Amino acid sequence: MIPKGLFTQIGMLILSVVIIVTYVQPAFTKIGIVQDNIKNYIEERQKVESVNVKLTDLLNRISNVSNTDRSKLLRYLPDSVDEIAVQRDLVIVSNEAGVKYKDVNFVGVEEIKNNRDLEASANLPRAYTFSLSVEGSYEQIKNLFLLMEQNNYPLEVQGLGIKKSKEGFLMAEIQLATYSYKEPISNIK
Amino acid sequence: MVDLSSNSFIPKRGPAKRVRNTGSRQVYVFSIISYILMFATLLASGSVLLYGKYVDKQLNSEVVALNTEINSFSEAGMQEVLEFDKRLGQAYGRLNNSVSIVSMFDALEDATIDTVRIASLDLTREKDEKFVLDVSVETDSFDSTIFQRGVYQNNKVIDSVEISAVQSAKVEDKSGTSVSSGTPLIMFRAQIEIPLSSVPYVENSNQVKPITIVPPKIEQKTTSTEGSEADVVSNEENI
Repeated sequence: MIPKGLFTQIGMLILSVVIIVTYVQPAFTKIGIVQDNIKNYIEERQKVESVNVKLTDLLNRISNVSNTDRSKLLRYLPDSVDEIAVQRDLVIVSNEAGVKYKDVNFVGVEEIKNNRDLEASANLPRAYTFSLSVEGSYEQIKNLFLLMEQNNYPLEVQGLGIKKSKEGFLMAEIQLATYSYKEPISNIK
Repeated sequence: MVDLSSNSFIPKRGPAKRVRNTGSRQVYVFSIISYILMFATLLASGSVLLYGKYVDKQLNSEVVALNTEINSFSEAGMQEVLEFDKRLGQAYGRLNNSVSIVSMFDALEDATIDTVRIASLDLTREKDEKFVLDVSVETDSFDSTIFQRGVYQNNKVIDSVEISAVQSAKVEDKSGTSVSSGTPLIMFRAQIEIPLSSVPYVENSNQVKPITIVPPKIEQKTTSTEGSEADVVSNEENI
């Protein structure tokens, strides 16, 4: 004779197995997934946190740059170049050097022509080119270059032609370049 | 002695072995297992339910923390840093490639012998790599030409030199002007390459003579016409 309790016990056993299979085990799996997600979120939060800390640090460093240095940097590499002001400066420098100023012209702004140039010039500032014609002795022309080198913004000699004039002086045709800050290509809208 | 027990009406029971009910003991063990399993399952279900809620809550708090951290990121700050870095990089690039034309002239002077005269000079800067000089040179003899070539070749600043178009003229130069007779004139072109790294600009505190550029003064004319007044106004606007 089979006791009545046996059926109950078998039922309990089956129920337990069913609960384990249908609830406990999937719930465990779900908890595992959630824990993985928590781990990922913690990692991502730490990354964002480190970026924020780094950014704050960099902003502090920028704010610690003195106004003098900041204005020097803006003078050396301004947002845009005033062509007339540069021409005026070239005339003043020429007079200071003692050479006879003949002519000064703004030639143009450097343009990017192809993709290769685009890649190469990604980190280059925008170039403004000028031509300057002067006449003087060799020492005076050297002095002109010396003063140009000491200028507080770049006056880069790209080309130079020197020949003797009829009066016995030297005639110098100088191609110069100065620069302005060029925004990164990704920022140009 | 009389055996009283044999006369008793109570039936005697012999020494019988007790039969073990093995079936009911198996059911008992089974019931323990089933009860334990049942309770364990219920306990596990409850624990899993509670722990699941706990990890869900933890996940939500992490999501909120991440969103807070993302929201605290300053796009404008990043833009400022990137722009400053880019400007510094571009300025550093130009500063790093700044050269001294005066140093180049000094090097050229050192490398030019006494019997040689430079008639004309064309200089081209090839990107941030080198200067290419096309120099028209006059000298008095072929020996001087050969010696000059050797001096250029041995100069440390000059990377390479190529002598070409060697011409010998006795009486007239290119422009047709007569030159002093007697000494033969040798003309040649020297193409000289000077790397920018050979003539870097080095700031010398003794050389620095800063020029102060002041804005031009505008004198207002007391007896001005309408036109001149307009000029003054436009000048002031420009300043």
